[in-house]
Amino acid sequence: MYHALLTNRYLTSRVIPFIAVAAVALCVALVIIVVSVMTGFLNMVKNSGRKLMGDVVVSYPVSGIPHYPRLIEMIEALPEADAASPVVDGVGLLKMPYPAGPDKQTSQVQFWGIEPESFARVTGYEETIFWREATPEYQELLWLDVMRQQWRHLFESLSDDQKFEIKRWVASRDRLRQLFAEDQEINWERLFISLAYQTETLKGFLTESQWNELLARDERLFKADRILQDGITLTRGPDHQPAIVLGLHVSKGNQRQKDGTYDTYDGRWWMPRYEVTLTTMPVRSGLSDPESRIFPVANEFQSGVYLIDETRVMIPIGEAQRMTHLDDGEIIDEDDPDFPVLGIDPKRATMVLVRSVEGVTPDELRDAVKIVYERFVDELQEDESAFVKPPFPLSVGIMTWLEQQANFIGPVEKERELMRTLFSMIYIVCAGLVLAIFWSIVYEKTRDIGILRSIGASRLGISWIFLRYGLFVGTFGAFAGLGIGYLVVDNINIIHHAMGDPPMWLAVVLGGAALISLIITCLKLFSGKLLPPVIGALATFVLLIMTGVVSWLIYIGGVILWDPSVYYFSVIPNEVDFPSAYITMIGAVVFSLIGAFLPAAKAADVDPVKALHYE
Amino acid sequence: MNETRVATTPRKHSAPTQGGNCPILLQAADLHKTYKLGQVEVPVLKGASLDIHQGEWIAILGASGSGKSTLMHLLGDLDHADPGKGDILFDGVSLQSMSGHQRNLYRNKSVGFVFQFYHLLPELNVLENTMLAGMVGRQPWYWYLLLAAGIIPGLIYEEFKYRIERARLHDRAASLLESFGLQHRLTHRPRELSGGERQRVAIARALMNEPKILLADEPTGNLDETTGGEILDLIAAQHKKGLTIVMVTHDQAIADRADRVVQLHDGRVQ
Ligand SMILES: Nc1ncnc2c1ncn2[C@@H]1O[C@H](COP(=O)(O)OP(=O)(O)OP(=O)(O)O)[C@@H](O)[C@H]1O
Ligand SMILES: [Mg+2]
Repeated sequence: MYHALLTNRYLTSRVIPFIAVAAVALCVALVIIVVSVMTGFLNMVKNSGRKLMGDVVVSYPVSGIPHYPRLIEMIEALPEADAASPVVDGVGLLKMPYPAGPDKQTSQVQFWGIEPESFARVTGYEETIFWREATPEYQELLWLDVMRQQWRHLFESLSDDQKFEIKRWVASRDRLRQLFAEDQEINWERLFISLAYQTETLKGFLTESQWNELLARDERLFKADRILQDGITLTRGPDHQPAIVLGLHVSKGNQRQKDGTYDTYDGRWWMPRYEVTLTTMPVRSGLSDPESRIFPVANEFQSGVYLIDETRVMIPIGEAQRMTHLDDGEIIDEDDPDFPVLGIDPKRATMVLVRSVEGVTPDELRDAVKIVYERFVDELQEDESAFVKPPFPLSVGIMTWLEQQANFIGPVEKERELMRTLFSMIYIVCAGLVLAIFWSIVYEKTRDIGILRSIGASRLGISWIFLRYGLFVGTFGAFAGLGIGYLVVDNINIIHHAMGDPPMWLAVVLGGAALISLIITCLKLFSGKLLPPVIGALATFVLLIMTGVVSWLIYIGGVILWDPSVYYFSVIPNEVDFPSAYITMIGAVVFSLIGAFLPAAKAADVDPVKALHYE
Repeated sequence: MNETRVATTPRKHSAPTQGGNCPILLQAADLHKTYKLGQVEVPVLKGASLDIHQGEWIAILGASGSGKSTLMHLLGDLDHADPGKGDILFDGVSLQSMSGHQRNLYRNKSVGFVFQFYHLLPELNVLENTMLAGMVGRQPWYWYLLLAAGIIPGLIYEEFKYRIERARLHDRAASLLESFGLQHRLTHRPRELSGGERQRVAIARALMNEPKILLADEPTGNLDETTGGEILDLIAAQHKKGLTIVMVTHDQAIADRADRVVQLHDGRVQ
């Protein structure tokens, strides 16, 4: 039992073991952080699949799968499948509303024609919609747009009394005098536009029908969540026009804030105010002209997968089918001068997304869907009424998300293992450190060991002091490392944000600490000893460097290490990979113990007589 | 392997002057000890034999370098005699025939060792130094394997056990130290004590486990006359209580306080 007494005393009476604990803790924390971020990254890739496109995708690009509603019906009848949804995808050019002036920018996009209702059941589409409601600031912008379009119409509907009242109100306001043109007549356009910012006043001047007519222009003016509904249904405006939903990074108007959130650049380029033009080349029917369509922007979505948010736009499936010539039509015999109708070419979908029910793995679902697809083809082959037959099973891709992403996930997984292995080398450093420190302690404590042997301690008992000590260092270090690793991983986005935008107070605090340290060091110069001022100088130096680094970061405006366009996701994964963390901790304990083995053996071999022999 | 031969080695000691009627507690039989200095062999003990009877106080006198400390180390099982050349019998049992575990127990329970230079652990206070002898474990070797395998429960268990042991040993150590006049020094570190005080702590530690025999190697060698006298008084008091004592000195005056004085000369006890 003397081991507990001695290890505690040896541990608390010197600083070096704490350096060993700190070193082990740092090693463990480092491995935990690196592996956690990489594992989190992989998990995000794997999980984002479900959010983006369900569990299994049946795809036949360009030409698409005809009779897909029947396929969906058959898939949805499967006990493994929860829901299925058709998609028509393609690439196109999107003409953006900016910049002001005639030459607008164009972006390359991948459009997905979706059936909003079933699409939301298969994917996490609804949660990805970015603008959940029109806040008052955005409603103000919408008012501005309405007034710009409607002012003349509104003006014409005003009675003379109304005009008189408005003029009197304007005259009573000094600030509004500028609205009078040279000839003392009101500039009505400017007046109405300025009234967009004070809609209550405007309401006071108007009759109820005039007011309601204005509101009818845009429901978003008074229903904050209409914009969310627009996003879900892919429509906009009073007559529910087909609309487009853009990935959040498609538009340059959305600015990434330093904390990783997004906002529009001063509201001017808030996309739901505008319309965009989508142009595609329908490649299916050989040589054909490009198709263009103007879509109002209903909303934007953020899936969190940067590559998708940067290029994908959603439009209603009907529009997409028309633009890619995958809509239904009659098949005409062109050789016959009467152009007789041979049959119907049904509308097609290039993909069918399927979501599994709870508890069914994507692989199980994929196998089930494969069988269904074969049955679907067989049935249609026999169906006389179907003029067009679906493509054969072998030519159709039926894959899980992971299979689709295999090229990407495989290397990342290998990279993680490589990192784990490389960083595990750190253990050897830990073991070496423990060895060196313990060796010197054994050397220093040889006499104590001799005394202990003389009062009956066994050799193993003596070894145990140091092994226990090693276990202590390893265990403490491992837990401290877990703590540090957890704190860092949990706050990694905050830390990253702080690096991107270092707070001024940090520089001030560090600078202050450096100054205090400098003063203390100067005072210690007169202590007559060398060590205190040297320690002080070192501390001052380190603090000064830290101050310098932080100031420099502030000066250059911070660094952003996690560039979402490189790392795929817009936030850094922040969940500790506990299985890896535990393995790392066990490794640290084991290697600390290994480091303690040699000193422990040396201690056991101490000859008490020699150890006690006085000099 | 050769215990029997050693056990039957004829004794070469003189008849005891006192306590001859008491049974022999510790017996050194024909001990040889040779140190090797490089190529040169230095024989220090050349057949030293000594019978120590129960309750006896023996003083070993001898010139510096005559091998007194060496003999004491052999008696206290800190060192071994040359292989096959002599043995030590405690209560009739040969030390050489004992297992490592039994020898540890012998050092821990049966003998108490007092050194000229006190040899206290600098990081422990007076009380802890004294209790240490009581804490030195008697666990079998596989015990440590169990502790290591259980790491955290093992560490907690040890910590717990230590607290309990400490409470148990506290009273004995404190009363011992008190009887040595050290009651105000319990929480002091050895470096805060005078030489005499340190030696008293060392004696308290040696007596902690109520040994059968006290081996004191020049216990007063580092102390002035008065302080040395006090230490001797302390030893004498223990002797009165029946403790067997072997004391090394090269001071005839000190040796005179013992029941019997033997001379170590030319590697033999005379
Ligand atoms: N570890 C050793 N290696 C070599 N020689 C040793 C060793 N220990 C002791 N000796 C030698 O053995 C001899 C006896 O030493 P020991 O310490 O037993 O003498 P001592 O009688 O106790 O002397 P003192 O009165 O000075 O303490 C000395 O000559 C010494 O040099
Ligand atoms: Mg000596």
